Amino acid sequence: MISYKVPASIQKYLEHDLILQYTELPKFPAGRAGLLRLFLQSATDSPESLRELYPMATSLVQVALDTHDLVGEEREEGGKVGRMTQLRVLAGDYFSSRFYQLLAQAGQIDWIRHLAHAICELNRIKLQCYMRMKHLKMGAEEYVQSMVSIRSTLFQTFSILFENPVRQIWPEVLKAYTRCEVLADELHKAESAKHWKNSWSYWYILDQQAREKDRALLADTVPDEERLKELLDRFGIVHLLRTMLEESVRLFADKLAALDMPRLMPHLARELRDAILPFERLVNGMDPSYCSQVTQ
Amino acid sequence: MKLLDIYARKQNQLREIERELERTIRSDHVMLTEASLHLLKAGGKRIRPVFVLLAGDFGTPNAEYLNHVAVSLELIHMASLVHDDVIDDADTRRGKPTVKSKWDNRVAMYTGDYIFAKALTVITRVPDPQIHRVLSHSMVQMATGEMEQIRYYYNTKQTIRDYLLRIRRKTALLLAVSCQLGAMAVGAPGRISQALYSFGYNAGMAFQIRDDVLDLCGDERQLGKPPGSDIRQGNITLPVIYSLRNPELRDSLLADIAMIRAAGGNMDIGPFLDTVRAGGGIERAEDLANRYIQKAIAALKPLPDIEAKRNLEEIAVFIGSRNY
Repeated sequence: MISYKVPASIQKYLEHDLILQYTELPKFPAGRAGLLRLFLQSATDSPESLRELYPMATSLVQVALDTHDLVGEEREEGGKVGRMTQLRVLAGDYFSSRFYQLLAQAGQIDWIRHLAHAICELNRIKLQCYMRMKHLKMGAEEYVQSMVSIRSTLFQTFSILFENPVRQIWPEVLKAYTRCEVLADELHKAESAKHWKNSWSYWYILDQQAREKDRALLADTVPDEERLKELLDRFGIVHLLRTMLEESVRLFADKLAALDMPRLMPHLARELRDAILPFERLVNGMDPSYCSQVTQ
Repeated sequence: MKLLDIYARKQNQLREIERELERTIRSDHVMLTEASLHLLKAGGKRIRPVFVLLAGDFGTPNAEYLNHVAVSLELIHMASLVHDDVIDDADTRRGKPTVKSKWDNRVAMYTGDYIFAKALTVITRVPDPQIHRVLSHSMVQMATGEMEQIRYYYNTKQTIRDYLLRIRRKTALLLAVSCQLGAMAVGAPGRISQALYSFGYNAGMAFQIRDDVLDLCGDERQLGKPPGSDIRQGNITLPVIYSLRNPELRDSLLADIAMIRAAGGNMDIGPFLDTVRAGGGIERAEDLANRYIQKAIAALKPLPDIEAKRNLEEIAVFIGSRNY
């Protein structure tokens, strides 16, 4: 498992009392941040301060944009937009401003620009994905690929910091890792009706020309747990996801095996190899708590 | 000189800024472009670009940097409006449907984030690190201010100081940095950019107080939205705070505000508006706005006597008396 401790300097932003009071935040991208830091340590001469700063600022803006994904059409009694929605909008804006400030204070103007371009692209992908979902045009594999793009686009920007062959390998390793992460989360979502809508299993069942009564269940925002479990069992969702995750773990392992970074220190190589372990445990059904672990 | 004459004097640069705004927000995603252009085409006073350009007359001309600063500040303002409309659940702005009402909340979120990122791509063409430190610090303060505003929704115990701190972050800061960054972009000395910051800050405070007065006194045609939108959102503004201090009106106003809150803003607020309009709070708020205008004009004193200085003074006078 890749270790990444959220720095105290940004933890305090995430724990603003109003945000904690009114809304939950999306998962902090600790795994991707840790992976980026490992690559920066192993394959660049960047000063230590920047090796810390880049993953931190990138993760913060990822959380900012993901927080805005939580904004929907929720209404309070009386038809008004609720405090939770308002705080989600404001929290995302607040994290974005802090991301800009972190890089500006360090004089990293080029990196503000690189990441700003990536944010534009990320919003383009998010909007496209959202509209496909809204019009029920999303496919199951397209969904996984979209989620991988949404989670990896910002981090992928750092390719330009590396020299070949790492420059070529970084996006491949990042995407392979992120695919494992996405599928692990999908396994988690398949456990509860709360997170099921618009999940991989939702789009998969829709792809399989679900029967009329299944479609009625698909229309429910939070369907009945028992009926959902029966549906997921009938389509063998957990088995399918485990198989997909197993394949993705193998692909990730292959990418890591192909790594030949000249300055790769033994402990970093070990940490990279360990990145695979929580996914392997999940494939083997040994560690259902993966999802909460990567957020620590 | 009238306000329109000032705009006419800067029309070539403003036209270039307008073109650059449109070029910048165009995307290969049709809906992203449509939603961004929708807001751009709705117009606006472009007061931030005007402040940047006038402040830019106090240094060595640098049209390129001024353009970048002006475009990015207007984009930051636009991005915040798109998100504000989600927060306020507003259906119209400047008389046109908001992005969130024409599309939906999620589209508005992505559009706002996209426009904000575009603003950063533009401002980073200016390599001066100090400009980014100033702007990013102000943006953090603005975002913090917006969040803090939540604490004061329907809070009838808030003080005038609470209100002033709120509008400082909500409006005055971006106008202040528009002036300051315009001066910095052309290499003006620190004392000049500080004086211009002070001008923008005081003019911004007056601008928001006037806005809050208009929300209570204007009509839908003038405002481009229904009057009383602030109180419907739970936003207690200066004229209301003053009126609440009037012992003869206080109980009636507290009862009205409690009812508006209970109804989630969906009720006839005519009686509330009548009470505030008749209670002297409007006049006291206007008086404070005028004092900010005088401070803004005084801040210009140390500046060299050029046309831009006179133009800024005229804009300040306009802000104090505007009715739209």
